[in-house]
Amino acid sequence: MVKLPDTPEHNRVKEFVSQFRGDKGSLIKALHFSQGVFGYLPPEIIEYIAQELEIPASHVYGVVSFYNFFRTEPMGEYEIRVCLGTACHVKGSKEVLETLCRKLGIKIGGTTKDGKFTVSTVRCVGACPLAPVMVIGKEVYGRLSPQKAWNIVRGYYEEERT
Amino acid sequence: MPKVVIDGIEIEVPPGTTILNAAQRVGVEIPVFCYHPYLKPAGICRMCLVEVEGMPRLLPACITEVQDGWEIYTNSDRVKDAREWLLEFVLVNHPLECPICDEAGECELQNFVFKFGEPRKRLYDEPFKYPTRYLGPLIVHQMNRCVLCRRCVRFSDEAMGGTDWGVYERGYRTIVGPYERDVFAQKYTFNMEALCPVGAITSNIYRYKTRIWKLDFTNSVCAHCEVGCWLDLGERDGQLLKVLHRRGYPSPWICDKGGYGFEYVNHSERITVPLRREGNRLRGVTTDEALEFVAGRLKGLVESGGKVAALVSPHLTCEDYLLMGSFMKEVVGSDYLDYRLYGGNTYPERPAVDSLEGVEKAEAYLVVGEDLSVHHPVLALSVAKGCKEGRASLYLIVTGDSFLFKFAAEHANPLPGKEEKVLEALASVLGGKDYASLLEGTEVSEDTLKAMAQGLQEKKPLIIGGSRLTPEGRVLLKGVGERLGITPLFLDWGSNSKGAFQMGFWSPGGESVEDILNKCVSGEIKGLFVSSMDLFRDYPNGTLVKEALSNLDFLVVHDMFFTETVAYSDCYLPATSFAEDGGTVVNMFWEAKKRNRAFKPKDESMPLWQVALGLSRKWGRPLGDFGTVEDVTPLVRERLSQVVEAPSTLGGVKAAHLKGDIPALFEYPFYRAGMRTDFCNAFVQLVPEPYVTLNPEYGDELGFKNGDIVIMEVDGNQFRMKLFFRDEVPRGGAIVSRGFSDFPITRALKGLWYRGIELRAAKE
Ligand code: SF4
Ligand code: SF4
Ligand code: FES
Ligand code: FES
Repeated sequence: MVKLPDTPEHNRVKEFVSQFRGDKGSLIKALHFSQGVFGYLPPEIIEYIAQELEIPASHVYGVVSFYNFFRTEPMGEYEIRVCLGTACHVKGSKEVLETLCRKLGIKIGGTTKDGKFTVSTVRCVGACPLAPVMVIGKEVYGRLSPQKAWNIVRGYYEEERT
Repeated sequence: MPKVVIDGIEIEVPPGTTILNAAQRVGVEIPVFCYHPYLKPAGICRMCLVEVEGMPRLLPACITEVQDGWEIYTNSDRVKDAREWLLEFVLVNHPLECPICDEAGECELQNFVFKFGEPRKRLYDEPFKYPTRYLGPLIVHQMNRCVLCRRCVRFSDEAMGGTDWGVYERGYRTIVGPYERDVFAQKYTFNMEALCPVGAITSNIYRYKTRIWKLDFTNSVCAHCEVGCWLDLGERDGQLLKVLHRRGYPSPWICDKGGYGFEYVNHSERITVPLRREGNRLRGVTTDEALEFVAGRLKGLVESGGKVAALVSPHLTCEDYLLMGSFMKEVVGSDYLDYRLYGGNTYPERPAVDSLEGVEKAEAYLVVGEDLSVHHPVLALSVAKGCKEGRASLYLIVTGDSFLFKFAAEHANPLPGKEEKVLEALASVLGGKDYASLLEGTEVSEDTLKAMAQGLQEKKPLIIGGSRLTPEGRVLLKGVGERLGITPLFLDWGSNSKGAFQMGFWSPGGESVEDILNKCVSGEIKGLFVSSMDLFRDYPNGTLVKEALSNLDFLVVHDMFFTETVAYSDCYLPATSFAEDGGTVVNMFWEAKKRNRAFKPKDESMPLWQVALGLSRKWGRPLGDFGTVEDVTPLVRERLSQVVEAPSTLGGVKAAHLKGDIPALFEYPFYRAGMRTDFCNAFVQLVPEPYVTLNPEYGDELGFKNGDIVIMEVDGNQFRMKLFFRDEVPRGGAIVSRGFSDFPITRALKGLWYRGIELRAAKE
């Protein structure tokens, strides 16, 4: 049995999810709401929802991992989205992605320890002439090389210091 | 009815038939991965694509229903191409490690590539590099080899109502497996391994032992419980290495005891020569000397006016019971023999249903007094199947049910020892009498009971009485049955209780095992013959067993291992396992089936019928001239057709078992129930030591934590054990595990499986 701690956030989730006890059809609703509260879905929330809706936790995680929308790690302050569309792929966006992940020490979908960056991927942001492209927040950066991309990301740290 | 032509063969099929089923009818083979006859069609893999005249695309045969006039081609060039391409794609990332894969030789991917593939590779990519997951002692999961057919996931969902086994991520990155745990052992795990068409799920027990084509398979019947699943025993060099369930009877599924619980057969601690006591030692002797010695001593005892009794495990064959019974009754002249060594004082009864299909068809179920998934596991799957999609309603009056509760419409989970009180209350509700007072102290609410009674009157239920019921409980349940117009299905312990009963292996005076043991204590019985059971492990009164055995003049034990019972013996005779000799067994529906010999007995081991025959010869009054077990079978057949009346057993149960703080039920964990499970290494690893379980809330109240070490005290005896929290335990009660030959837990019991216990935290 999972018992959630007594915090305002957890209580909101408890209150919401308890409406759907035993109702398997409300899974997406429950997940959506909980992600809205926490920004992501921590393991105890997945287990709690499984228990309340009477679904095996494996199935809940199956749904969570199936949809891109759901996250199992907290989101960083900035989201770096590297384009893996056809044009960008041809122009070497995979190397850009790999370099960023390596330098930041995270996997795709992961968040840096300081909570600053999350790296994710997208399929074509409609800026093919600039390929390869990445988007940080609302800014679009084009004509990247792995080094150039890393310099830009580093810039965000420096900006903070000044 | 639609008429179709498949590869030139015309056939008429009922509407709704799929192309695949129609093709099977005319004997046309279509390769499949995800399709399985006992799972719902899913249409995932596209291995089964076929061409239909006039259709622009190929159609998946497993999910497409035929329509009148279709001309179907399963072997056209387009179909062949599609198959080649599909297999080529599957192989792009497949590790191709057949030489070290246990599935090789029975792998469906391998077979299809040989049959339908093309030896070429046009796409080059890395093979999958997922880590191998060793999911405990039963199975290994290698995601690299998975073809994503999801048969395993569908089995877990459809047959077991969902377990910790799912599909994650999507597309090319999809993986399957458990989410929460590192050890996967869920009572029916074997079926997932068997369903996997490739080597993605393989058995850990069989890992790297041999190759499938080197095994000789023999048809047999499982010896663990009275469902009596058919097994195929795979033998090589006198070792039982693998069990398959190819013939799908009585159910397409079996449980892990049948599939993995055979390691004891090859166990290195088996003693396969006769031993004779000389002072403090047991000395190895020849079979001839041992039989001579036993017959001589028994004869001596009888001549000097002592009595001799026989207690024999309920897991043996009818041939064993028949000859041993004849020896005891006709040669020795004894009236004391019994097979009910798990305790209890009931005899088998004829049921109202005759097959698992019959069980699946019921409109409702009432199950009382047994966690079916532990002692009759495949029966539990059939009940679950009947309840699928809300078809039948299930009502449980079971303390601590661990599987069927998922499917139950109403679940009364009474405190230990109170199942029959609740049953009495149910009878009162149905009879329109007052019942509230009966429910006091059972932890079952009036609402539950009322809903149950109403449900049972609306739909005609199948009533199942578990092995925990006392004779009084059975009378109550029959009363409920009469009211609803149904004869209950009563279950018994062991795998051949019905056979033992039918062969007359019980005391004509109606004495129970307890009575026999008491007579050993009083000195009336001086000699005892025990076969294939450790009384200390299974008989629920360790203190009585100890007193009885210490008081005997002569004890013979016929067994496979050096158990505590053997330690008290004057002579030990080595027994065969179920794989080393054949015979007739009778399942829960009173069907007689045949076990076959998979390989010859190890060294000097003998089945019980041979022991009885040998003893009768040495006694000077041979039972007959039997060479093999087949010579005895005609006699067994004859006995099976006779009507046998059981002696009356009412009034033998003593109360006062439940004094103490917490009422407790002593129950076998799944992997400890059945025959010789404490010599199955995998099972021992899964459940290495005894433990107590409490409901989490109740445990909190008492101030314990999950995983604490506690002292359980009963009658001044102290037992140090681990404590776990489990949701299925009723609040206010405890469930204590039993079935450990090296831990004297039966000393806490007094003939029934309920006892009041005291619990406290162990001091460090
Ligand atoms: S593990 Fe086996 S049964 Fe399960 S999806 Fe993979 S190939 Fe199919
Ligand atoms: S233990 Fe019972 S249910 Fe399990 S395989 Fe053996 S006969 Fe079948
Ligand atoms: S492919 Fe990257 S922007 Fe279009
Ligand atoms: S067998 Fe038809 S799609 Fe898999």
